[in-house]
Amino acid sequence: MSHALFNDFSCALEELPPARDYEFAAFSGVTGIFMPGTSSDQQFPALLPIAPGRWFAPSLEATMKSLMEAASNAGSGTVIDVSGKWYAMTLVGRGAGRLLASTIDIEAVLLDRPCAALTLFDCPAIVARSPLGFSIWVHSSYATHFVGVIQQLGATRSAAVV
Amino acid sequence: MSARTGTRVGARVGTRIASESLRFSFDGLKYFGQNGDTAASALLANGVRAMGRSVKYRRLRGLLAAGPEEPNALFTVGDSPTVIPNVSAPQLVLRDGMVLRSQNRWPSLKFDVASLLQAGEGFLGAGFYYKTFIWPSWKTYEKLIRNLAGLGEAPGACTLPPPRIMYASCDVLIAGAGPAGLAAALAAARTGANVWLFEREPVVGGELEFEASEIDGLSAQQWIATTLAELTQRGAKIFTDTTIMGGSSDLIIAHREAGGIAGENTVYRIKPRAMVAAMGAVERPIVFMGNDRPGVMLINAAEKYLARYGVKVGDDLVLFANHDRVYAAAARLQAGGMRIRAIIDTRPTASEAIPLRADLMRSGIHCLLNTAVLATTGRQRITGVKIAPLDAPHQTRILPCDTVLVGGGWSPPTHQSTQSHLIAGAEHGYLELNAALNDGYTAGRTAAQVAGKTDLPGSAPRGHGDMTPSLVPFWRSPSDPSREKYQFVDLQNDVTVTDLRAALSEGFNDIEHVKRYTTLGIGTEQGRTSGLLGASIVAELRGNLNTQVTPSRARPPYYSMTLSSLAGLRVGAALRPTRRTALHQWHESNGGVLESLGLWMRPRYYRANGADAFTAGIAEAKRVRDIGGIIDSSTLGKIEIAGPDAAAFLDTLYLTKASTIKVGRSKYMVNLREDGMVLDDGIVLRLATNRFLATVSSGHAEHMLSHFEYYCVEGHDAAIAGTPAISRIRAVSVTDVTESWSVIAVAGATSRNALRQVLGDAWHTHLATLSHMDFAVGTFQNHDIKLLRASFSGELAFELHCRPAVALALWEGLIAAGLSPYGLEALDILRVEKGYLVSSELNGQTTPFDLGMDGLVKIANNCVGFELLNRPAFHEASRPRLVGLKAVDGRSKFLAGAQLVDTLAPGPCGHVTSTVYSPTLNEWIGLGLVARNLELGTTLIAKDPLRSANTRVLLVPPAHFDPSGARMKSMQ
Repeated sequence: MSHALFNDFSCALEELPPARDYEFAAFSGVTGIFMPGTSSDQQFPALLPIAPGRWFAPSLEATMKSLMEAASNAGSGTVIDVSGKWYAMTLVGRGAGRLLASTIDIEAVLLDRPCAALTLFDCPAIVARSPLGFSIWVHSSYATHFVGVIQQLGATRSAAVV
Repeated sequence: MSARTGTRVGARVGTRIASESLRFSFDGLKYFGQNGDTAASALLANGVRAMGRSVKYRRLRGLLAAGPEEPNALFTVGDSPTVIPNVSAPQLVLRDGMVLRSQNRWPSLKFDVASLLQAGEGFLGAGFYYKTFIWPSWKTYEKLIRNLAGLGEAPGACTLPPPRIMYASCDVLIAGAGPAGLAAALAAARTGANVWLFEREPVVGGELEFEASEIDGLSAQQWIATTLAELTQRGAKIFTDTTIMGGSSDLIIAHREAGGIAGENTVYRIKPRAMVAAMGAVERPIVFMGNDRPGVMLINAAEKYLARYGVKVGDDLVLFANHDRVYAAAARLQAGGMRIRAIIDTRPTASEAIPLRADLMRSGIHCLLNTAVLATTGRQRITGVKIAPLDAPHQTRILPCDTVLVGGGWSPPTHQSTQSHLIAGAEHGYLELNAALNDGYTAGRTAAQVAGKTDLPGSAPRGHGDMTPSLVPFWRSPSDPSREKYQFVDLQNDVTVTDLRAALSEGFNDIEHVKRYTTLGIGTEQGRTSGLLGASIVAELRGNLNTQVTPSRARPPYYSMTLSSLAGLRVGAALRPTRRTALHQWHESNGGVLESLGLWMRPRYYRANGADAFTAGIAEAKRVRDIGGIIDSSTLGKIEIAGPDAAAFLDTLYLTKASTIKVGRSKYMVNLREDGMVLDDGIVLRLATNRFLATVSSGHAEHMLSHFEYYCVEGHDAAIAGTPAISRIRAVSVTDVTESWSVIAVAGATSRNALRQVLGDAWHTHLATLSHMDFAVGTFQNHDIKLLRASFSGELAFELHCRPAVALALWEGLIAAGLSPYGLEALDILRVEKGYLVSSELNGQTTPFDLGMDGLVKIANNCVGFELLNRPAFHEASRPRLVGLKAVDGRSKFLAGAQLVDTLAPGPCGHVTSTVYSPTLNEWIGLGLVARNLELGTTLIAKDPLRSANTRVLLVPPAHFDPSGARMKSMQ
């Protein structure tokens, strides 16, 4: 029977070092902004659309930053430095999806979008698929609680890569 | 331990048992069972008939059913305190060494003291409690009744692991894997739909497990195997031991409790695009006198115990029914080795079953038509039944027997049918196999279409099994009204026909009222055997057709489930999240006593400064005034407002203008609600021409962010008349940056020097020149920081905004420079000394005028809430105003919450909002809200009846200390 299929929680949580993060917020009523991630990019998006008119740029590369600044200079929106707001980690392994399904139907949530801003285990978070599992950013004040719950469910934890 | 009745028909006869034996105990006696047995089947095999007592009358009860509808045999599993009560014996799969106890009895199942209540013969009928136990007071009886009430022993401890939780979605969810459910799954899967199939039992097939049947030319078991293989191959997920517990129209909750006992539970929360409910139907009993004695069982249950476990439920049986299926069942039971003494059929003819009936009669079974069982005889077990023709009920005779199997028809599990799902099979009224298969297949195909699958799945399987029941409704046997108190409708709750009659005579005509008055269908039973039966008898008593009274509504969870499954993952430390600042670990490691403020954890005080909050708070506050101190203020809400229209946007949200703030300056500002009441206060920093940072109260942070976002997105031209409407303000964004910035508040005379040591030479000029409310930006260890000259304490003070990555380094540096940490207790002291708002003054009922902000209102702009500041009610003499308070005698204590009373006027004229003991002034001081017509210098009494205190207090200006702010503004 199918229960066994859904009992694999084996995965590893790797906490990532702090990075320079930005958000780009488009002004209300402004349309026609193109940001990578809003199209059908096949690559992992460098800019994550996390709300209507709002993108999250983790560990921003120079090209992306200049793209956002260009949009800002054009009067489309603003760039906000949110370094420290989000605590970054990856959850990889066979059971990563099952583990996250303990809090939300992750497959349905990410069915037709590159990422989602949502609540995972009562913590505000952003989740995106990564090659081996998921990239997760959780509000940094919730990080200890979040990591504790993930570990309680069976994820192994590795130290931050500095 | 000798098995007198109810023995096995032979080793390994039964689809679910293996030959390995298990040991278990029941009420302290040791028994053997077989691997695969349930508690019910094992006890039956050991000849145990009595398995519990009823809740109210404590009547001895045996098994009625073989599924979760069992009302009587509920066991407590395990040893105190980690017991699990109310586990249904037919659902409980036996494990080696299992400890079982019957419930609702003392001192033993055989003899229960409270069962003497039944000697009162109706003494405790419906409504008795409500009418009787009120003199002289309910309290007189409460302890006794509470001891008697309830089902089983509540656990004193829980060692169960949290359940697994799974959120998922599928195209088609099918509840029930009997013939109809399997057919539905087959149809849906053949269209390409993603099918999830749930079955409450450990195996699929439903009635096919024992019904003689053939489907598509295969035996039932072969067809089941073939079907499961095809479903698996098509990607369907099949879940056994998993019950649909409840849900809404688009969310279904399934619960897996393998073996019927908690341990490794799973809760599935599923959003299907379509659902088919094919959960079969529950056989219901017929009501007659003494129908609750051990030995009265459902026909279907006896068949299941025989087929699944090879257990004979009795040696000498009478079958009592109102349909044709009873004859097929009798033939199978007889083949299983049980003696059938008689079949009592309430119908005038046997319809389709005439040939089979003739065969049974030839084998020596009495088959009586138009006859009913009127009563059972015996005491703790059945010795016989009293029967009579229905057209001559006084012509009674006794048939000896040890077991009565009863079948009054089948009730669908209507709890899920109330939702917008497809229904199939027996639940839909299709009791004959081929009809059920066809109905299921049709439902599966329809569900797939609802889920967007348009492929045609081919034709439905065809089968034949037991004959059509040809049921003629029959709810209860004739009885003298005086004996109806022995006609039990709801066995679990001891509801009799007399109780139903009493409810109706008291005017409780609606079935929901009858339920609440009599307890019909409450508890774990939830009307599964008593619901339709009770409703039909109520209809009969009211003189209605039974279609005019529907069963009462079941409440979820529709089957018993362990409370730990309902709690899910939210247990222990995971009960709710806590938010931690970047300095949390330092606080914990250095004696910080943390308390929760919302979800945040903040130090209230540090143990090194005193044994309790009062002592430590005083010491910490004194040190801030004398030397200096630091507090972790990272929990302050921080919102960045950016864009060309940012200043205009803030002008509409704050009482005073943000657009007049110069870059590099900040301002204390106040927000109003739309009704003019003060919403929050904080400091707004102008970072650049088009960029601001607003700090808001820690406890209001989420609300203030929503407030900002609402007006950012929606505009508020309706709220502001005659001003540029915010709806035209488009070029602005609002971003929560609370966690991007840790905040260390540095206060006291040595704060400037300490900061100079920590930040280094680059900051010397800023530190020397920053005026009150100025700020400067720079870096520390390559991370951005902002230094704001602002004070929470009334001292020379700075707010150091830094990235969390360097917060610890700065904090420890400041301590090394001679500053000490202080907590919230000291912060409150410092604030009250200065007359700053603490928190209880911002209670949603105070206006800017009440809080002494008249000066701000004079320079106010047309912001949200401004228009309503002119309401006459806001200016009445009875409105409160903020004042300082101090004890008249200079030493008495008074506390927040005390009412302020004028000795010359009736009633309170205000209340104390905050009090502290001031180490600077060496007395208790406070803030309060009092009627504004009272002059400063007035003496009032702070009445505190809950804490038995009356203190004479004097009204003084709010600022108790350094009212001119000289220390705060000092450039030294």
